[in-house]
Amino acid sequence: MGRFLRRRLLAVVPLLLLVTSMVFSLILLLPGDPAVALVGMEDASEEKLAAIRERMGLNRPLVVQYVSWLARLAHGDLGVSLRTGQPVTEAIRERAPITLGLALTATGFGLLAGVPLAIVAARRRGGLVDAAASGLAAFGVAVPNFWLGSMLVLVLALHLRWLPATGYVSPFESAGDAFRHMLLPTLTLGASAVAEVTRQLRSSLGEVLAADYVKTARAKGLAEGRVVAKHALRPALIPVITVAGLTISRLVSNTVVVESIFALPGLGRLNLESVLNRDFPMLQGAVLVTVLAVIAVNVLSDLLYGLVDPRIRYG
Amino acid sequence: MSQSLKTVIAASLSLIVAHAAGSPAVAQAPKPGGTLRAAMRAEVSTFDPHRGASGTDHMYLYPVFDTLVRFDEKLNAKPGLAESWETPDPRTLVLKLRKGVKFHDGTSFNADAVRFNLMRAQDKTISSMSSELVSVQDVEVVNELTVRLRLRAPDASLILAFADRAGMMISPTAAQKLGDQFGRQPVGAGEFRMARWQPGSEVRLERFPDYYEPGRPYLEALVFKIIPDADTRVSALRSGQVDFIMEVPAQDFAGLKAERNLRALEGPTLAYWRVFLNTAKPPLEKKAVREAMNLALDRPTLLKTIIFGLGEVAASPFPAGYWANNPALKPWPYDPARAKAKLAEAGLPNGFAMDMVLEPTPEHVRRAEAIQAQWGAVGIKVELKPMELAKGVQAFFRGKEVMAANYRWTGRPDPDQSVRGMFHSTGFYNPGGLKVARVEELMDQGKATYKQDERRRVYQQIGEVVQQEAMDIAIYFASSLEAMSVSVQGYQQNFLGKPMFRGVWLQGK
Repeated sequence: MGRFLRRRLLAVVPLLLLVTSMVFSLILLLPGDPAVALVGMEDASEEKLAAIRERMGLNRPLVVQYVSWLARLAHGDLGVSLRTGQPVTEAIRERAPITLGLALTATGFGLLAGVPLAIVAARRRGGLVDAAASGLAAFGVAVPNFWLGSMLVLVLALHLRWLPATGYVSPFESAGDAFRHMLLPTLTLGASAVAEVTRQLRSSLGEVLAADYVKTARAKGLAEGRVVAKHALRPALIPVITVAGLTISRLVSNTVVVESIFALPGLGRLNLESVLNRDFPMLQGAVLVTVLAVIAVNVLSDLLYGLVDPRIRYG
Repeated sequence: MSQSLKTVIAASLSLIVAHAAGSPAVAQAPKPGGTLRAAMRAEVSTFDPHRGASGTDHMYLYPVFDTLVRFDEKLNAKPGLAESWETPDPRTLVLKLRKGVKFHDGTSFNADAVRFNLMRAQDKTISSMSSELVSVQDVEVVNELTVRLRLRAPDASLILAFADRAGMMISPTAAQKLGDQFGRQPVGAGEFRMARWQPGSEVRLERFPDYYEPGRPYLEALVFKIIPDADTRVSALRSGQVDFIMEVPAQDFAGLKAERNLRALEGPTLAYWRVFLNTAKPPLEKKAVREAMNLALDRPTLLKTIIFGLGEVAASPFPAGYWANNPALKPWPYDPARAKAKLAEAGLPNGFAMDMVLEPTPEHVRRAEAIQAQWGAVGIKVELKPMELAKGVQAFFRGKEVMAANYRWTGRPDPDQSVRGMFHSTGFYNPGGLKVARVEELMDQGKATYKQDERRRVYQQIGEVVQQEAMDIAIYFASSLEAMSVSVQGYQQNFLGKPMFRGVWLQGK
């Protein structure tokens, strides 16, 4: 397992080089330089733009910029925002926890709601509960985030006034407030996670429940709850881990819509704003962290396979 | 009726009258304290007024930096940190400064500070706005509270430039100490000082207790929440997470206005929607073609359908009520038949094809499509090119690849800045370099006199020539739309459409 981990982590290095150099190359394809993005429609004489570019360090060749970026990265320095002058590492420290937290709570919500729903549905295949769960799952997969988010805001925040419509509160400031502010974004983002988990677990559990060794367990006279919990659930969880891992990765890179609807200052919005502002150091940093998070989640779910199902070996 | 009864009746009547007359006055007495939370569309790029260049920074800068000159809601110049100014000759401007003003770090505001600021604003290694001060040759400190500016040429637009970035005074001590970092830890002489800036989330400003106007500001703190999405801004106001929002989407305005706990304001601004043309690209250099384009637009319908009538059809580059506007000018009539005749006159009986950039957001697309349809009806075939702003500005103004752009002219404090940008042959917003000598002569006249009455006549004439020569394709002025909780008192809209919170206070908080 140690060897497996080492190999996986070593493979990350070329992947990161590839991704960061790709992001740097994309800069070439983006028309409109950062100086123009900064001044927008304001009168921008060539002289004025040149002064801004000079200050941003953009008058050097791109390769030089990339290499110096890599050199600084080795020292943990990601540079400063072209727009606000904020150190990129500081921005990421402030914003990544919001996005990662949101992705984790949404996936957690997906598991908490999805696993029981799937067990009930798998046990009573074709029944009313199964139909309802399948319908709900189909809805959760199909419904777009922006629609669900807007509806939840409309009903729960604006009409019933139970929850705040927007904004972010750090859990270190006030845990209760943080919870109230994160509830709607979590529900919005988590709906698809519930759906994915339910669908996957329902079908894999269905297969396992029909397997011979489960029949044997039943024949030995074990209680049905024990059969499901002890014998069927563990092997059936493999696809769920896959789905949960994929969901977290997807959510980390997809929170931009939810962050915009709920005015959360997370990584998704940082990515989007950096593209619009052509704030390349910030964009590089944000992409780097997003990629790292996705890789970490993948490695973690590979490791979890082995814990859940001892038949899986790492070679 | 007994005398005493009469007295009682009279007394009670007078009480009622006094109460009726007096209650609004009582309600209007500003109450100190409270935190105003305002939702902004974009984040401030930097708090350094000289380094910054983004038009969305001003809302953040105004509370932190007092300006040499202020403007009232109609953009007339008013005393600010300069109590008065005079021009002994057209190339000399003398500023008399206010006494007893301190920066947030305790540094005194005086003539040396003004000199430091103006020199810094002219220093191209720091400043992105040195072009606003090109006419200033030399800044002389006459005494503690008097500065004399020697000008290269007469420049009346300088006065209102001092109500903008160029007049925002920063603490020389802090600027020297902080260098590059000043933009994140600003020190001005304004009503509020920087408390905390969480990029992407909010900027918190707190009351400056040593502000020179006693009792001001009324608010304890001013918090700017950064909410780029317009619908989210509206939700945040409705659910009480913010007290004030700017740039209310036109379709939400009536709904917000009808809500009991909210107040929605509509006010005129200098900002108008127009089609920018590159007149170096044939056939746009022909006056008859530009006349046809103007005649083919049904402006009242565009105003009504795109922004629900929340604005005013544009007849000239300036709105009604603005001092430089020419009220005698009428908007172009909607006359497709004459438009076709004009095209034929230009040798284009079958019309022509052109491309036009626009921003890819729903309202922008709706407007451009409506224009496309109206022009299409007379044979002008428009290909729409939606691009995000940075790319569009590059393609149209800088790369000069596209024939037209459907953008908003955001307005400037002084009319010279507007007309020079759009209608001077060297203007940045005139990428084809369309040149009408008469307009350029008038512009120079407008800069050479400091008397507003004389300047008004000049800009009114410019408006006439711009229309005669079909230099502008103005569509409509869009009102500035802001909405706030009813507890927000004393807020005043201005012609620049950039919210300012001077004099604002909160009731019942």
